[in-house]
Amino acid sequence: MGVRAFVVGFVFGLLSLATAADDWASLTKRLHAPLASGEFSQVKHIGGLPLPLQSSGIFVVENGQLRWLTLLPFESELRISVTEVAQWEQDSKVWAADAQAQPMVATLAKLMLALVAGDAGALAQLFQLTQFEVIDEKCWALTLRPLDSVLAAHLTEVQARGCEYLAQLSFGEAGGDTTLIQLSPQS
Amino acid sequence: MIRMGQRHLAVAWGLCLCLIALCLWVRLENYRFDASLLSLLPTAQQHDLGTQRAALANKHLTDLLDRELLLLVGAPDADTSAEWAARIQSAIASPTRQPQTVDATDVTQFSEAYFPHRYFLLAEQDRALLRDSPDQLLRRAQQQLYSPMGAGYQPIADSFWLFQNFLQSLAEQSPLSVQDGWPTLTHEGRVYRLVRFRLQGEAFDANAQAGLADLIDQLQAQLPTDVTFFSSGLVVHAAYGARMARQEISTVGLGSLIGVLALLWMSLGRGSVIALLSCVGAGLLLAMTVSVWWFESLHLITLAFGATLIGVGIDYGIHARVALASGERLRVLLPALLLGLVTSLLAYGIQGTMPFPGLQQMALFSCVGLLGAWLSACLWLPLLTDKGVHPRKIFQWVHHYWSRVPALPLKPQWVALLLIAALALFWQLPGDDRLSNLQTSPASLVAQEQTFQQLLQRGSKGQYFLVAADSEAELDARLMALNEQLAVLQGRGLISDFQSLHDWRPALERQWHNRALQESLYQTQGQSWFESLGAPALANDARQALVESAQPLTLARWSAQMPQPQFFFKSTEELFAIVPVQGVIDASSVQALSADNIHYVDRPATVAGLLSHYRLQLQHWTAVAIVLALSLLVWRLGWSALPLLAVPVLAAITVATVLSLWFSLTLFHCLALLLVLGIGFDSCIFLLAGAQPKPVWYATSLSVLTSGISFGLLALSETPVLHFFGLTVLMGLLLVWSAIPSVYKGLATDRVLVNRADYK
Repeated sequence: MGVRAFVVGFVFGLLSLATAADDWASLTKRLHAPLASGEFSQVKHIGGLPLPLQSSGIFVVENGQLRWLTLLPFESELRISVTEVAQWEQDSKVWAADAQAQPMVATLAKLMLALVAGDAGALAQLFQLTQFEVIDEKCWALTLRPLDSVLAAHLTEVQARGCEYLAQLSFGEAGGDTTLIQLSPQS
Repeated sequence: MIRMGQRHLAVAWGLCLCLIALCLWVRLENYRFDASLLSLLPTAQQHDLGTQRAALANKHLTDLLDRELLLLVGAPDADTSAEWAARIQSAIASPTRQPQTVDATDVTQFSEAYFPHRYFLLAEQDRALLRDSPDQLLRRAQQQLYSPMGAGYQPIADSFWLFQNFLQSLAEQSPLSVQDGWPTLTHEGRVYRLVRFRLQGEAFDANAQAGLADLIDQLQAQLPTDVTFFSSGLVVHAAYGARMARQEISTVGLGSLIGVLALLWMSLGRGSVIALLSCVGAGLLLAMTVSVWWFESLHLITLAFGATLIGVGIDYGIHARVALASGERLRVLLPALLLGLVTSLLAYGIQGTMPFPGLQQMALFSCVGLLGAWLSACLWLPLLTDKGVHPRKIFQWVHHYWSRVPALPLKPQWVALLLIAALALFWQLPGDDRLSNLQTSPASLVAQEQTFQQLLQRGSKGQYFLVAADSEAELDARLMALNEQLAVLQGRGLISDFQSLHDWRPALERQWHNRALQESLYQTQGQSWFESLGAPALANDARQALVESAQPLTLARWSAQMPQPQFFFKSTEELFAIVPVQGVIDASSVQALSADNIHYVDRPATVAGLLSHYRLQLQHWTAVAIVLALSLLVWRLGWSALPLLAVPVLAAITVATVLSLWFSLTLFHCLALLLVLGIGFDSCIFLLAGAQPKPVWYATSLSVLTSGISFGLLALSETPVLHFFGLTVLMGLLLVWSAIPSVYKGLATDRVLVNRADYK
């Protein structure tokens, strides 16, 4: 990292510092209801693939662990915790990514866990709130950027919007791939 | 007339010393004192290929480690640990200690270097799946693709996530990952940041060490209670060792100086004190000047031993002063003084014959120092008046002891037999030659180092296999065979772990096999995979990418782009792989894997072996020196003097035997025994050559007392080497002193028989 990049980052940081604290407080106020379970639909746009990859299923949060059960186009289960992201098949773990070894996976896991749980404090440890928009009394939209420079080089932008709870989450990667997830509480 | 000539000589010698002092001053301007323990040790005698290669590898590894200063800063949360890591980094950074930082480009550079060879690389798990159940591998790839966490998918370049998985398997080998710009690890809820420094210039240079020990202590003191840091790196140990040595040299040096001064003042009066100290000062000055001009860098431990010369060099002075004051003429004294010098030089000079840098330094320093002190005593002391040199009341007990002990008549032939038996015993006395005996680091530092290595899951670099080959293929083949055997040992629990170059760059044969597996996957499954993604046209592109990447990751390429120099290096003709082995439980089964070009290197054991070799050699040479000195002395003083001359020898061997049986006999104990011999012989020579035993006994006692003070202080040292040294000399001298009167009184020489009448 060149000196100039550092200076730019520093000035930028100073400017955003003043408003950031208010925004986090405001977000904390609005994002208070955790999602215990619900349905999701996900659309992934991957550079080079002509069609988006669509999937849908249900999710459950229990004991700080997010169980992500894809039902379509095929059944599979992902269990996401702060320390590990693991693929399960018929109650046995078939594959796992250690959070320590993969900071990117770890950050995404923490992001999802924090948003679903409505934990703005956990977000503030990893991200910088670059934009926070209050739409009406209940609804909001935000844009985040990873604090970690190594991560920011891969995960360029995170957007989320919701009212009482998180309704939509999207993130963009450096390569141009995007993932858009819609969530709705279980009716 | 003689008096005038004497005066001229004394003045000339004084002027000479002024010139010598000038030489010393010039040289000290930018002289470097060494504190590294390793530089005291001998280099391996390079007789066979294995040791030659091991020396090469050791040099390679020490060069790497010498230049490393690592700190692990731990705190309960990420922010605090990052904050303190940054603070500590900026506090320690200096032009000679350059902080090493990581940023995004370092991480991408690493994967970019592997990328062109991705079809040749596979994670172990993927390799097994590809071989046994490719269906499962496909299912997993699909799950990764649809997972919200599955980021960074490259449809053409890495269709089945295999390269990503390979990179992850590499990352998992280290407990560290880059977070918030720091290499980070989490252990039991604490976040640790690794702060790295690269040392510029010589690692053991005073500049690199300057203030490091104090700085680390200060930082430790500033830390909040829940923040900790551990340091690692030879430079830290060297810095602490040097600081301790410096402190102890000043306390031991100053302490013995004050003690000796007080003692001499009380016993011989003010005039003698100044004269005797001038003699010792002249000796030290000469020794220091010659040593710093002779050696590139003088070790601090040499100086510590040198400081003890205050005690030994003063020996001649005391004997000469007491004898001159009691009416002897220098001309009469000179033969005894000369005999004393020769035996001491013999005892000290022996050290210089070993190819052991530390010993050579000490030998030169001691011999030159003694010569200087001796010359000064001979030239200066006769000029003093006799005033004030009378036994004081507080030293009456010395004479009481002499007159109380019974005479012990010993037959010279029996003593000779005893001596032969003792020397034969001494020849083979077993010792303790572990390197840890020479450890100069404080225990807290050693504990820190251990915690550090545990947290980082780094094993000691002490034991490893060194694999040598002429070509890459040969090296790969040997490494693969060795890795397989080591895996078996690991499975049987005989070793806990090992690391190999192949973890980071698989063998070429393995790489081609990986590529065949991937090629078959792309050929058989590519089409249906891309059809399921709605992009059947890409299958061809993906296959094309595989075909175009036909270069395996060669050793040359790997070592140029992503060096892991702890696993690989090359000399002009050969390639070398280093396979560190940890937790060796059964050394013999590990040793058994050695072959022609596979050498097992156990550095602690090798050093211990060397120390043992030199300790035995020193024992042998000491025995030879004893025989030579005894022959010389018996020739000059007569056969009947043998029982008394045997006293220092038997005392030294007794101490050695006691140490060997109940404590530990090290190389440094043996050195200490040489001192006992030197001082002991001096006393015996003067007793036998002097006319009256009373002043000689008084001088002998004073000289044992002064040595006792200087070496007794050494015994208080926390540096094991110095502690051993002091304690051994103290015990030896005590034995010599207490045995001399009885044995002397029992002697059957004419002179003793005459003397016995007037001094009881």
